[in-house]
Amino acid sequence: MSKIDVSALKSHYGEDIEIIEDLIEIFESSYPETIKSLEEAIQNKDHKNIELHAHTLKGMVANFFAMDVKEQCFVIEKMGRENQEVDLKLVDSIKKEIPGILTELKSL
Amino acid sequence: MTKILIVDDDLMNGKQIKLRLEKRDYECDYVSSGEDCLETLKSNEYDCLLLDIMMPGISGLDVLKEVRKTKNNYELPIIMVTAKDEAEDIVAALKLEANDYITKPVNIEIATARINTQVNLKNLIKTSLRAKKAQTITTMITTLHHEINNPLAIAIGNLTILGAKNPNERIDKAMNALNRITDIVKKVEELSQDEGMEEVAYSDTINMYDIHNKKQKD
Repeated sequence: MSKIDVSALKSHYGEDIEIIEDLIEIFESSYPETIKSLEEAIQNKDHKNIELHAHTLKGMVANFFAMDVKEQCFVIEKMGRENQEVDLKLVDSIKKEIPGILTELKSL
Repeated sequence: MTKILIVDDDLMNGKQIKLRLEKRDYECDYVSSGEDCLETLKSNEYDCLLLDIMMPGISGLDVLKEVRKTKNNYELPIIMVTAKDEAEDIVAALKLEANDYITKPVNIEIATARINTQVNLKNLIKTSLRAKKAQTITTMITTLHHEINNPLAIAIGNLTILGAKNPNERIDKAMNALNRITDIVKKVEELSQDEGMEEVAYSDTINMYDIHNKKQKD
């Protein structure tokens, strides 16, 4: 099953679709650090940074119209904002999805 | 070329907006923090700011507050860039005199339309203010012309009578000086009626303007 809304992606970037390559490169190099920061924030029960890093990750995947993962990030962001306890398993689930997203993007 | 400063801690978002705007002939700079934004604004002029709301360190709202201390919303239009679920932040930003907002992922056509609207408005207001200033100067000159002419006429009239009764060099010198003032006042009044006038500041420190007819100067 597709992890990306391909038609929304192509419609959004239109004639600028070639910049996707640059974005993939930036995402690949930067998402691991964002995930690590999010995990640390969760371990430290640092709700402000849970919200911030989940928000950042959400923005990253939203650029590729990976809607399910975007929603998962939003759930964590909201939990951070509401000072709720966050289970690291939520981040594990996102981590498992991302390689699939990258594979799909590179095949476009 | 319209010059934009893009402020976003998300490198992907900032970079894609920059690339796509540059492709559409905008000149763009990108910084990744509120701190860098404020630093950049100290020595650079922009037509518009695209400002992410949620950033670590100084937030977009804090940057907005700081910028609005010295630049109002037509001097530097600011368009906030935000996720769809941040309605409270959007309201807060608009209350802090952000000009507009766009949501992520940024639709570039919407972004350019909103940028152009703000920049056009900014330029329109600037032109209107310049016209108002010119009108004020004209009105002031016309008023002063009348205010000066009356006492001038009285002085010249009385000196003419005095001079006729007691011709002397001092009275002649005084008359010459007053006639020179009359000529200057007349010239200033003529200049104020001439629509080809332009004002050029020739001092950085005080408001002194050389007012001349642009066509004659060219």
